[in-house]
Amino acid sequence: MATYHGTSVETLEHISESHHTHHRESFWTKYIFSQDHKTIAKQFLLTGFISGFIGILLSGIFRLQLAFPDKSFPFLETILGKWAPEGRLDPNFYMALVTMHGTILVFWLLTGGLSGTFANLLIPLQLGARDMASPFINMLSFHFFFWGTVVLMASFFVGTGPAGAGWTVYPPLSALPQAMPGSGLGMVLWIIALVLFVVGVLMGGLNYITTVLNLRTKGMSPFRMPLAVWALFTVAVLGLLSFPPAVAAFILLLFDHSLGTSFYLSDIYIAGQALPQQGGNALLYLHLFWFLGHPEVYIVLLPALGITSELISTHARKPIFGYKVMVISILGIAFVSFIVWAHHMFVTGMNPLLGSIFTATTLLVAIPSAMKIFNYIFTLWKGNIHLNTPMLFAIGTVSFFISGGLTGFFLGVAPVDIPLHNTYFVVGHFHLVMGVSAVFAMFGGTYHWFPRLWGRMMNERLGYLHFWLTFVGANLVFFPMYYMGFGGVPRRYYAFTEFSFTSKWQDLNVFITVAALITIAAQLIFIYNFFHSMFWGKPAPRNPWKATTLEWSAPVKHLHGNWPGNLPTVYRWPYDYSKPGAPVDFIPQYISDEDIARGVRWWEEDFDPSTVIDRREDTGGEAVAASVEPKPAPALSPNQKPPAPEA
Amino acid sequence: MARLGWLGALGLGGLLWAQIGAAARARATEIALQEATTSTFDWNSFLWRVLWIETIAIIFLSIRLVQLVVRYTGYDPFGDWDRDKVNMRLWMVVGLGGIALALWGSFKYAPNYLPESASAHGQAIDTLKDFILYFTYPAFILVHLLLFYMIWRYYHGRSQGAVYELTHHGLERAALIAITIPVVIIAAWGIWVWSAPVHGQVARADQKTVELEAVAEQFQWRVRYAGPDGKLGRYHYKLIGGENVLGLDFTDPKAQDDILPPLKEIHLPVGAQIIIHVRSKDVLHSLYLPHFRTHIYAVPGQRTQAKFVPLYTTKEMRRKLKDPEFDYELACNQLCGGAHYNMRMKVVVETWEEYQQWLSQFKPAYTPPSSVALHKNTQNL
Repeated sequence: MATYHGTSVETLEHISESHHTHHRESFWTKYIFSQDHKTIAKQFLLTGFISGFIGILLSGIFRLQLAFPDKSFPFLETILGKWAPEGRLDPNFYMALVTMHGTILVFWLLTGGLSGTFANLLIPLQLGARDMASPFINMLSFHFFFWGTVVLMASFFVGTGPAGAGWTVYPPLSALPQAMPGSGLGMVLWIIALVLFVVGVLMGGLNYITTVLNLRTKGMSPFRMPLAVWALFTVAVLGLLSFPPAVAAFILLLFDHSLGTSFYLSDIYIAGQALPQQGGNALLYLHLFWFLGHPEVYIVLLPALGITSELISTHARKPIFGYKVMVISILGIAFVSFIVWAHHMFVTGMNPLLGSIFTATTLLVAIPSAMKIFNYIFTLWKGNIHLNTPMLFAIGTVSFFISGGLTGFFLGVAPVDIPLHNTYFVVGHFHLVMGVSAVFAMFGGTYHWFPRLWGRMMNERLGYLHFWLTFVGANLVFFPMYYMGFGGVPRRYYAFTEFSFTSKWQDLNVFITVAALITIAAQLIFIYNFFHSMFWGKPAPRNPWKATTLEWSAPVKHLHGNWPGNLPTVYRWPYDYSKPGAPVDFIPQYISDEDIARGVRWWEEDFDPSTVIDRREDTGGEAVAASVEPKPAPALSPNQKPPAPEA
Repeated sequence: MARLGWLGALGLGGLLWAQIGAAARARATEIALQEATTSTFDWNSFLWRVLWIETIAIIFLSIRLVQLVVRYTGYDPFGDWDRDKVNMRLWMVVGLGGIALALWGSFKYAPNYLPESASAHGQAIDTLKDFILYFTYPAFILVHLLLFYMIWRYYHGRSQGAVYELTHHGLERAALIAITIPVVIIAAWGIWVWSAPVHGQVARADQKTVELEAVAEQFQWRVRYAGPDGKLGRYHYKLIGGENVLGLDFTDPKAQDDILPPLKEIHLPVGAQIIIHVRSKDVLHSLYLPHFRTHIYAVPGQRTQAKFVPLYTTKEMRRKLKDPEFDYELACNQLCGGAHYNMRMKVVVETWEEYQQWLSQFKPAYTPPSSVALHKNTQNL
């Protein structure tokens, strides 16, 4: 029986009862309206992966068009109907595919899916909290995300097709239904979906911030937090500061679209008609959008780098190199990300002076980013590198971050951006640096924490197969795009046949498409591995990777409240790998020096961490928990905070 | 040996399957040919679909088969593989091969890159671009080699156990300096080059200036040249209609002599200071002249401008590139709708005399209407 210091006996019994016995849980409360952060993490992961896979399939369709612009594919008519008459993709639907591909992958897979999954899973578990600060808002966060997904997917089925103005939906194209079919109902649904999505992100973000600030367990000082938590926390702050302006931009866009306002519209003559709107300017939208858009890149990237830090340190059995430099880099990237947005607008006609300023700030990002890369490499140096699936994906992330990051030097410099702006150079750059690299971190994190999520191991060999096919494939797809960029080939072209400087690239486009289709097919291996392992995988031990962080001290079987008894107390930083004098090459954070002296054998298969955690009188988490008001309905969250003692 | 046997069996199975597939395809085509007139059922696509589904099924069944054999016989065809060693070697092969492939591709596709800049400011841009390339490409290779070396040297099979090393101030400082120096150089150089195309080079006293206007709409460009007065006249979007496709305000005398060539061509004189005023009638477009390293958005309700000096005539460029087909091109490079990919205009650079001669064949767009109509038009403003 757990002993809560200073807690009344009734409360104590109530809490421990709700931990040990499962109070009535129907399918709905357990899987759908769950307030348990681990279940919510699974919900985010599944929704993110499923929508991400749909987004990747869309790219397969438009890659076919780019490689074989003159060829007819009858199966396209079978699946797309009127959007592919006689097997030829409609140009407007091509744009819709590109738009939805971008929207789904940037927002749904790499923001909702990546942050949603790992922030929910890792923040409470790695900090030693029983759940999020507000499990109810956490549940709502997923439900807003989910309904956003439903609305977005529904837009595929409206008569005029889904939004088609590119994932950035620049007005006036997106604001005028007469400008393209995708700017009709599809655009309205896109905005609704995005607003729902952002509400979800903000609810999640508030929770992550509050949890990190208030619910760290005893001993978990900021500089004992794992880098993944640092990254996820920073990202939550970024999201909270940058998403609201974007929502404002979207709402104003909706007004322009449906209510005849002119925030972004002026002097427009379209479809034989001069519109009455005057005085607005589309560049206002661009500023508002990229004020989100650039931090968004780091909202995608930072969790990926945080996860990579965990994986590289754990599987190289070596402390992360330069922990404080890594933390400062995360904060530095986050800060700089707010003052670089106009590098997306060097050639839009904004004041040229801004071009100089944003060139300088943009190049600053290179410094913390490069420090992170060097520190990853120095972590591997003199390490003991276990090349298992999570480690392969983590190294893959670093490799993509190098290949993609370096080309930022071209695009961040205003004059060099002039010929490269909106070309395939940009497509190659961002796919490598924040697309594939974040996807790889997400895969790596999934392989690594799958035992934590589902209590089973994923198949290693299928993991290798998946990794090598995807790594080689993704490089073959995106690296050649740099060549096309030097050729000045514009992005978002339905066909490269019309210009002589673009039509030279036809053979390379066929090559990229073949590589892309093989890479997409390779994801079937992952899907099979994922779902098969979920039900029939090898049962996981409690700490399969011999990691030090707290999430591996909780029982394999999920408990509402995470730890059966006390919360663990933290005695060391998260990277005590291969410490000289230690009996094994890892010392978990909850093991104190006295425990080591006492001869606790934490590395053994059948070791139960609660024998150490529950032995102590002082309960972790209480120092901060005491400052939190008790909630009237503890049944909702029998989690982090034993109510303060009756005075 | 056993492993080879397994792989061989799988390979043979694959070959067999490919044979069956080829036969089925042949049969399908045959049937389709035979029944094209008699049957409405599309055997060809049906069999194709079956083939696809079965191919996927076969792949997964073979994976499952290996799993089941491992489980029930205890015999594991890959059991003696050293995971770390195999993956380390794959990193070496894929990594080094990948770098070699990247380099090979860069050279193979070099002829397709944009040729030497045909504008003065573009050459400064290209010099900076090359400098960045000569910094980033070696950095790309060296940092990757460092990464691959760590994998090769410190993978589980070769490592003598990890060293507990938290940081190394000298190394961190070296890394910081290694990245800060290029950042500072490139930023300073970039800002210096940026000020040239943007603020414009000061035209030489004897240099001629040509002002023209490029107007984007879904999905074409229209060009307007200033007439003999060298000035572009006023316009208003509400005047667009009928013959007046650009909404020129003909009460402005400067607009009356403006010329709208009815061709999909822009002609520019070589060596002159070209100023293109850019506007859009409907949505965002962008004026992309890749060969002149010139790019500016067309924003409805706002006038933007591009300024450059063409250095080579089309004929000279054709001779330079040994490509008699070569043409400068103007493209739209900001998504503007379905036919965005097709907003092309040919750009012809020629001598001043040729340019004058070409321009002189067009009459001004303005034909004096009755004064009532003119009055009516301007009232709409």
